[in-house]
Amino acid sequence: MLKSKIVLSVIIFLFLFSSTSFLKNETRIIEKNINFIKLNINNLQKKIYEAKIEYHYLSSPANLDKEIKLFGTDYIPISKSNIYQNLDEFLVEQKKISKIEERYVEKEK
Amino acid sequence: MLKKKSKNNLNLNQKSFYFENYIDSNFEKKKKSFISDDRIYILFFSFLSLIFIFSIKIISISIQENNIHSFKKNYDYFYPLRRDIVDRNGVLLSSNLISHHAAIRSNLVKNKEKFLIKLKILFPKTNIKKIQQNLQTKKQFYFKKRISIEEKNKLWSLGEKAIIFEPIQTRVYPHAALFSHILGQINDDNIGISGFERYLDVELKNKSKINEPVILSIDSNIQYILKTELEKSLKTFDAIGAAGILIDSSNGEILSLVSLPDYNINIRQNIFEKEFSNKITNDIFELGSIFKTFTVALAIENEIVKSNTIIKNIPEKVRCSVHEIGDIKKFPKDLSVEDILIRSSNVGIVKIARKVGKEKFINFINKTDLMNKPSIQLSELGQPLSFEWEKCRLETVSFGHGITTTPLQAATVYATIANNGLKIKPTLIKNEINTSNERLISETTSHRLQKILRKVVTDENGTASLADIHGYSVSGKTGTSQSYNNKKNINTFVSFFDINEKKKYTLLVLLEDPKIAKNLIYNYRGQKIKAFRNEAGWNAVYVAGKIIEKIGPILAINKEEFQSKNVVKKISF
Repeated sequence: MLKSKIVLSVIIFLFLFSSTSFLKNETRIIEKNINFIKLNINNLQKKIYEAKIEYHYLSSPANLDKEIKLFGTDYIPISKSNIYQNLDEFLVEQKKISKIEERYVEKEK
Repeated sequence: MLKKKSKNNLNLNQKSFYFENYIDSNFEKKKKSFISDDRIYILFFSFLSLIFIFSIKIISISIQENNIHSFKKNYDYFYPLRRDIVDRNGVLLSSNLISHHAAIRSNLVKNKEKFLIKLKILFPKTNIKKIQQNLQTKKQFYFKKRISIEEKNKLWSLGEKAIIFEPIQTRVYPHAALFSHILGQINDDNIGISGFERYLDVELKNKSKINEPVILSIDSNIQYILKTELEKSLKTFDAIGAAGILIDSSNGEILSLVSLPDYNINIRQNIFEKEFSNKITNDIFELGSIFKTFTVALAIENEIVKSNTIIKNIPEKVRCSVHEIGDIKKFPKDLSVEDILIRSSNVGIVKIARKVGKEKFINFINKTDLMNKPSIQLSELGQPLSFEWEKCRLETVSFGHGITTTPLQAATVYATIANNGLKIKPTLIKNEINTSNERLISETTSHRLQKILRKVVTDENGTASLADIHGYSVSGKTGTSQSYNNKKNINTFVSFFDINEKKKYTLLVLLEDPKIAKNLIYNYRGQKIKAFRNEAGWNAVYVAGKIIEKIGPILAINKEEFQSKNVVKKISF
């Protein structure tokens, strides 16, 4: 009776002892992995963040204006009458264009 | 099974029995055992606790957030300490980046002479004497703050242990000077010291919203156009300063605010010169004839006159105490109210103001908030000079002299007129609810004024013909005055223009001390002519016209309906 109790206790002790150390090691590995992944994510985020700033700098109106001037051209304002005021106006004109095109195709035939 | 057990327990030879105390006998048994149950329980419990602790650790690691306010951790795990600022279209205006301060630890420098020579070669502008002094007196000191990547690489190349790179977060402004008077700056301790950065300092550092940008009502493209045109005007008219503001008249959103000269906000420097201050919100001016619109508005609102009422026998000059008020041009003796405003007659306006009376005028000026400090999300706000309504004050104020205000406030009143008399509150934040039901003037008065102000641009006697840009129905009023301090010309043009039936924008252009552009040939009502007077009509109006011509198409394109930018321009056959 006594022996069986001691054996049981030793077994429980050994089981818990080994499982605790195993858990501890696993935890450490997981911790390292999580930190490593987090660091990677943060590095990528940092890169995206810096790329975003670079993009906004390079595509700023001042820079685009400078670039376009290098090609010897300049911005020309569009006359207001050449701008569609709303989608309906655009669709009406698109219909007109398609009709003209249809007629042209028929004539060619 | 039970039966078997009972059989085994039954002792047939037993002749007597006795009673046993169960508790005592158990106690005896326990005494005999080497390991008590309690110890086993404790051991079991302690291991269970350890397992519990490790599981908690695993969970906590997976859900933990890094402390964003720890610089040391922040270096590896970058979290901005301040929110980004973007324009109304999502263009980045201000953001945080990791940068470094370069420090020197004196005790780690082995050969001081060699070290100083190396530094001098790499950074010729460095004050070597000061560094030499610091090396002898201080344990550690900053060599340079907020160094660039190139500078960091240069210092790395020295291979000196004594140089330490201290990571910090720095604020960058990708558009440099474009938004200098709007955004402002922060100091090394992440505290806003000017502009929007100062006004919204707490909100910009709000940890719970750190990844959400603050969206301004400003449009970068329009801001750039306004700035470019104003810069051109400085050269064309040899002006010492210029400013402009564009307000959406329906909700008070400011789409552009420019004040020249400006400065690069990425560079830390102390600027003490007054000309660098914000001319739109901080500087106060006598804005001259643009106040005439308010006098006429008040007279029409109170039904003292109508726009076609003829004011008869207008003299060339009127006297008020020791002051003599006259016009720079000779006008007909009988002029209608609208003609007085179109031609900008000082004497005519004085006559209307006298009909209105001082009391009503004071009430109206108070209602416009022109004399109060402007209300906008900036820290640089000017306070108009207060004055007593003594003799002749009514007469001078009626045409915009003897009264000061900021251009922002004047533009706000004009935006109110464009908004059919409903007051608006200017704002720099997008979609901030700014509509109020408070009226400055009735809708009828507002429509009448809009018609008169349109004639200021279209009428042959109008003073703002150069701003008549086809398709935008530009209306406005010119103002030519002199600054208090140096008696230099302040030429202003406040206008509003239509984009469609619903949208009207208010634009104010101000030029400080412009000269006559001798080489500029104007296209004046189909004629090629040169300017002969230094008035707002010949410079501020011209600049406003150029601006409207360029920003008009950007504003006219309905971004909500047209996702593809290729379909907005009509095809010409």
